[in-house]
Amino acid sequence: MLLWQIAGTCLSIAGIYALYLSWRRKQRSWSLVLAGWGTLLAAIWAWGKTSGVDKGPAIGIVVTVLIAMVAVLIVALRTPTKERREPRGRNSVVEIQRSVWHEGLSTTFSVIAIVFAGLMAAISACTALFMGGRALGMEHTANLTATMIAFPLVWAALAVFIGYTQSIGARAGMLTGLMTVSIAIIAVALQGA
Amino acid sequence: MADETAKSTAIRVAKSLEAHSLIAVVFGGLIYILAVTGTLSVFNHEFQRWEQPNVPEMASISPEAAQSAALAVFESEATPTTHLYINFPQEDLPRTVITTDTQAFFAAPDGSVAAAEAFPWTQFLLDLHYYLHLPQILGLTVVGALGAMLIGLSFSGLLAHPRIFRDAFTFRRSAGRLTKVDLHNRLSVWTIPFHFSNALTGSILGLASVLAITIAAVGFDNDTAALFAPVFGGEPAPVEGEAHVANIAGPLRFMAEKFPDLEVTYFILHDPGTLGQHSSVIAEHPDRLIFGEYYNFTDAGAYEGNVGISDGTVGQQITGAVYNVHFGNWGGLPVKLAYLIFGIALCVIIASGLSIYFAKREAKGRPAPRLAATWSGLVWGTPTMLAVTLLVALFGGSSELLVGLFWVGLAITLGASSFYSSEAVSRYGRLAMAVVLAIVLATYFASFGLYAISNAGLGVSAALSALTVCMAYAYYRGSSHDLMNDAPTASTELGLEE
Repeated sequence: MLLWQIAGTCLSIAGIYALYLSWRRKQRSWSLVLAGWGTLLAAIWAWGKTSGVDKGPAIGIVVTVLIAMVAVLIVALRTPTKERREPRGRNSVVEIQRSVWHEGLSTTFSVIAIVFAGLMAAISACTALFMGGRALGMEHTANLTATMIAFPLVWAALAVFIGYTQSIGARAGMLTGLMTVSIAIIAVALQGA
Repeated sequence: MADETAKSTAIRVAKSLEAHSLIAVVFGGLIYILAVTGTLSVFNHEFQRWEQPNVPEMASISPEAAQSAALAVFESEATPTTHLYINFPQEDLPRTVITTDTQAFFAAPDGSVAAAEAFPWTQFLLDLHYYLHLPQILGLTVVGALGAMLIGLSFSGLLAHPRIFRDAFTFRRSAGRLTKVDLHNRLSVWTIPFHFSNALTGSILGLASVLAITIAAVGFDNDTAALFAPVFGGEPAPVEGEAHVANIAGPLRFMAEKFPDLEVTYFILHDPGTLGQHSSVIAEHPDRLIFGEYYNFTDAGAYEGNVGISDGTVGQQITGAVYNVHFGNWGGLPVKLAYLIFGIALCVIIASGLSIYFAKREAKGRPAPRLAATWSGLVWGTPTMLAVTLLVALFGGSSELLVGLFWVGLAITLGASSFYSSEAVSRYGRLAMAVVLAIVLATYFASFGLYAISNAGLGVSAALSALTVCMAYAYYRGSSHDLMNDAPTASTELGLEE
């Protein structure tokens, strides 16, 4: 087991170093990028040999993240500090100008949409996902687990969509569309039950 | 063509940043409180030991001694308990605890009953992290929702970061706000396996109830227990009528003989002293992420089989791993320390993210110094108020007092912060934390004497001492090198890379 741990650690270091070398080059080197990620995958595989099917890779991920943090710290410490130019007044981001009132109102609507409409749409979608899976004969615990995992992901994606789009119509269309489709799936699944 | 692509990317980045900012501004404060309390909760066993360092500790207890203590506690109950639990010694909590519906006592290695269990601050901390001190289902749902919003922050942050891999190692040191931006982005990217999995597992734990209620209403005649029974096993209906309390030592001996590689963590006697009583042993599988497996026994101690969390369906095994993945108690102290580092990183990501937001506002000509100072108040007020509640707990403060003190104290801190500059709040926040922690340590040593440097007390005492020194040093070092809260005067690369 110790050998696998050493191998996993070395592969993690090698993978991060390959990615670092790729980052340092002016031109992107796909061979280094692939070598880096490939080596990291090999590291996770090696760590998988040190413990159970789930715990081994998990330890590998923890070790790899820690090594990456150390790598960033080393890069930070090695980077010479230099006088910076005065900050620019504007940045390169395309700004979307709005009045304070409009912004306040927009934020309030967005929050209501995320918290209430987003929740309702996510619940509908995931209930439909579960009922659809059940109707198709999916194994119960796998179906339930997939649904439990999907719920926060769907809600998070809807929250990002609501924050991303400025159009109330697009938001309403997405949320009502999702709920309508979900209700239809639930109805069909219940008919078949 | 290239210009159009660049413009399209810039618009996508701008919109993603809008989504990122919206979610962060609205939910960031509560997410930060959850990040701080979650980081500390990883060490809840260590805090439990620290709060009560003067109780019996042991590496293991014999089945007969555990049974003797459990029966003594059971017989002392005024009203019959529906469940009788034995928590067995674990590496990070080497104590035996007998728990009923209403009380909990430590057991000594010889099977006698020792002091009552009391860890008000740790319980306060866990309740804050699990429920934000709201009623349970509502609190769980709110906390779960905040987990979902943290996932949303990860999504929008990745969308807003088109050079995510090209800048994987960029870190401009001593460059003021550029350093803060780099810190935010580098930590966010490299620790994403941690904070994404943590947000996901946290939201699964929190939102399971509300989703289960909906699914049960649609497809299980409102029976949520039926929904979860195939995962965790069902609980048989109680059977009326008295009986001798079931054999406790028998199943424990069976586990030691049949499964010597497993670590028994809990024994549960369901409906003790009734005709329907039966027992379960929860045992950890040291090479797995699952919290454990249920091994079920009849009232006579006959083995009935396991539920399947360790070797059942994939769904059971994944669900069984959610809790441990969230709380980091699957790999001993090394993994806990890694979770501590990742947890602190998450706190820094959140704190620096909102700080960047306020810099951006100022750059756009819409400064919000009061809000920025209030944010600093939250960043430093949260750990400081946790330290204050720890101090009050050492003086015997009840859980209710701690809850009121924390929220009222935090509200006052936020209100007061808005009258000062962000730098001042940040600087004096560190001082306040150092002072309170020093008083906590002095009180602890005065209360427990040599127990403070026992195995139970030393770890947390040493960590708190180190934190006190760090905070005092940070205060004296001043705010000129502040990474987390220095009030910006202009914006540069806000959320983007140079």
